[in-house]
Amino acid sequence: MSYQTLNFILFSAVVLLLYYLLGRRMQRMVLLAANITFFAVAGLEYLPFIAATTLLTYFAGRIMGRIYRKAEEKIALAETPADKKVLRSGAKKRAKAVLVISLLLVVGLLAYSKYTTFLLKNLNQLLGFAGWGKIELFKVILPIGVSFYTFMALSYILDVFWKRYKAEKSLLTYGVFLTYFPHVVQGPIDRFNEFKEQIDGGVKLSYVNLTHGAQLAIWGFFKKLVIADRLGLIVNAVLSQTDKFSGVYIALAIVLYSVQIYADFSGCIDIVSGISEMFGIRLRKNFNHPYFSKTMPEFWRRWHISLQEWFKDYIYYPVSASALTKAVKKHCKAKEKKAVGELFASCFPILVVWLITGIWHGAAWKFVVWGLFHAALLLGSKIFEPLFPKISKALHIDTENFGWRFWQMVRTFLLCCFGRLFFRADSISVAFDWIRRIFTDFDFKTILNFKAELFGISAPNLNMVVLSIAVLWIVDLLQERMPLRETLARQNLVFRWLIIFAGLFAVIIYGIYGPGYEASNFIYEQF
Amino acid sequence: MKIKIAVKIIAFFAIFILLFHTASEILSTTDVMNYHNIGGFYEEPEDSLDAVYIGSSNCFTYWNSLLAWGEYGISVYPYAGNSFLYFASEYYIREARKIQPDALYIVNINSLTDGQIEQTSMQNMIDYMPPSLNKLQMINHLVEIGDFSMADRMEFYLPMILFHSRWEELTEYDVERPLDGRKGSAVFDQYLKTSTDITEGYVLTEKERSLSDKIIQSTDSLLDYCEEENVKVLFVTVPQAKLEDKRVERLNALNTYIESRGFTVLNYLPDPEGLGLDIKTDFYNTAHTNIHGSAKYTYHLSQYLIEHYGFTDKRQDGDYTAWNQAYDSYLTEIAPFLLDIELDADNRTLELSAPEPIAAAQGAENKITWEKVKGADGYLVYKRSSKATARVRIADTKECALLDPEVESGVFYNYTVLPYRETEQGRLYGKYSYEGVGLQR
Repeated sequence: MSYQTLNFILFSAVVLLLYYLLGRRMQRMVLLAANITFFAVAGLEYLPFIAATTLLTYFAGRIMGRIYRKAEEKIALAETPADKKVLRSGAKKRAKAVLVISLLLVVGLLAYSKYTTFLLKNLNQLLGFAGWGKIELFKVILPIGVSFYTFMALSYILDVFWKRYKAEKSLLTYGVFLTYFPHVVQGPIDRFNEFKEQIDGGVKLSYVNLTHGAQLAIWGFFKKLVIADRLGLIVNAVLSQTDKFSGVYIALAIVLYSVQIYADFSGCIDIVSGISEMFGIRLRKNFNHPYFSKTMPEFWRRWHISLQEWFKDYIYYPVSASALTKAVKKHCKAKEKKAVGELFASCFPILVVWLITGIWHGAAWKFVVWGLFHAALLLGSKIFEPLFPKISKALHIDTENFGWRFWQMVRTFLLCCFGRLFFRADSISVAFDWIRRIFTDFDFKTILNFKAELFGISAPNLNMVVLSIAVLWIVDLLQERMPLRETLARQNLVFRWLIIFAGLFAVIIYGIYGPGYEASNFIYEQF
Repeated sequence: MKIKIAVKIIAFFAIFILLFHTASEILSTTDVMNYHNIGGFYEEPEDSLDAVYIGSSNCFTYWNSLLAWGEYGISVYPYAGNSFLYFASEYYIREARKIQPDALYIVNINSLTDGQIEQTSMQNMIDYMPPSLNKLQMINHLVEIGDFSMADRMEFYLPMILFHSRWEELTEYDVERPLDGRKGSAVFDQYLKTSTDITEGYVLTEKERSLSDKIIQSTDSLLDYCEEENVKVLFVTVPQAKLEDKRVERLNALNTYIESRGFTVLNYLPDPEGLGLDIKTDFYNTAHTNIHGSAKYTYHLSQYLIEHYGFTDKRQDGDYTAWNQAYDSYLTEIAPFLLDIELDADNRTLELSAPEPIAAAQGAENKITWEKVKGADGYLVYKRSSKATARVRIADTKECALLDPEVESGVFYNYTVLPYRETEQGRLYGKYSYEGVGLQR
């Protein structure tokens, strides 16, 4: 039951009705039942995986919670600070043991389902070189949303371990959080404490939640069905047969793919966030108009925000504060190379984060390259950051004027597009082939003979692409400057409804769905 | 405050439904016959029809409502569509009875299948029927019989899923979509212009095969409804070629079953000649008569209906002016494709074969000759100078040759010859070549 389907809308509507009709006490039960149904419809074989992750992390949290509680009780009775320290240290060690075991199991489940085939294929290549035969591949179940719910579960046990909040007593509440159908497939990667605050005690029916949520969902459907899936037709037409196109078309397709993936992913997030808002549960913000970013670090603060924050909180900071980083810094300081130590301390965590980010996106080398590409950009940005103002000053560049800021946005977008080559290509070699074609066979004049039919779509559909991207850009621009839904709510009813009906019927009429089209799955669904 | 919100929500959904329905109508496909037949039916005044003819394309290619009106003054409307499904008959009758509660319902059963339902058939069934409980129940019934997937079902309940992509091909016609006012009478090219010999594909058997549970249940439900509601109903099977043996056997069995329940059945499948149909010339394809065959069938069935159901001539009735106007207009459309004698019932015989005339220029005249037809007492010769104009009678002769002096250089002429026999009841006209013979001067 993909999020863009009518079945999902009907499913959500039924759940919403029950959610509010059965009263606040039953709301969590309704959600849990809905979540299980959602997963069961997607595939019964997925259920054991998410159930295992839920139970493992729930009980790990409970055990850690009990360890801390018992330790606190004993500490309260301890007589000397030394005794208290020993008790705290002992509790931390026991909790750490629980954490490590649960991390191994949960990450193991993720690794097994997502990376087994990849590892075996690579291992077979090595074995092949050595002439030692090969290991038979076998079918591995890849549960939907495994990367997302695993990260949410990890954040929970790590937060409990770090005592950011207490372990949850209610399996129902925790189960609802981890399996919550709006965020379980593609995120946002929510945090348990924020989620719990919103559903504890039940949610009161709110007209504002319903209308604002519905508006956001409609906008999400517009981005997915009208823009992303229509762009997908063009992108696929070019990139599935690049030998028929010159480099300029490949470059254009990659640029359009960058818009497609944004409309697709942010569209999905808007759909699920909108629907969740109707349930009175606000999900984490995941996008903040990333293509208006002027630098790559800014881009990554605006794109897939919940993932970036997750990496910052659970990888970047821990690695920065790790024994290894400290040891290297100390070693460099001793050798009177403090600057090198500082550089290592700031760059090493970035490298680790982006290596994992790449692998998280998929079990393929191309994602590793994509991750390293962004790591290189971010490291370069960090290393040369002090130089940029000096260069600008030397070249008399007014960095405050619109032209410069616009150029920065274009530059960031193009760098991002370059990275997308690896993201979109089937393999690294295909990506390099595209790059070679772009640089050696650009042939700009071929774009002058451009016809819509080249992309396998009609001229009206191509016009719709241009128009809908313009709408996307204008709406993003407005959102950048004002809280759009709140502003709309202050307008008179006729204008408000005109906008809503226009959006609704734009999706219904101009959306790419139904037989012959088969609305494609969300790009991030595969991650 | 709560009331204000409730009113707003209700108003919002009311506007949404209205807009959605309008958009659906504009975007839906335009199967010409289905749209005009089904849409036109709802334009008929309440309780004004003698009969409603329900079924698939067999209905409006065999039955010509305006020819029946022109000859007998009876109003029998084909509430029928391409690929109509027999399994939907009950729901079509229920729906039609909302407007025509006392009409006779003629159900054509040729489209009977064992339960297989094509998606396109489903669409044809539901696209033009306005939203109603009957329609909803019909879809529910058919999706169960056809065992459709959930995704397919959604397309039936919300055809917009299928049609929305037509936005790029919309024209003014899609917005206006005026009804043709032909009362379900056909004018499409094949019907008017094509003649196909279906002798080879004609299957005749009296065998019967057992009926599936789906057929029995649907039929019982239909017949029970007709009994309970005292609906006058007549079941008809028309001649059709290239039917598989099992389909003919199934139709035979169904006819027997319906008869055993005490309902009237007209099974014309084994007897096209009884209807005056020539299976060499009166069909445009294996399942449909052309206008010539259609006229014969229409007159035959009209006489049966008048005799058995007491339908009266309403041509002088002021309430039926629209039918008279429609007939006059229709005649001008079909005039190039029919001879004047074909607009009269009871004057045809299959015993006189069609002459094959030969035309040749002879000086300033055209000479038309043909071989004598056995049993013919004379011949009518018809002429036209373009395929778009009506054939005009130019001679009534006992000879087998004719000189036509009314010719001009550079003009194309077409002739056909109709044999006749004089009888005590009047002249009987035989077969004739629909194509005729052409000659360029």
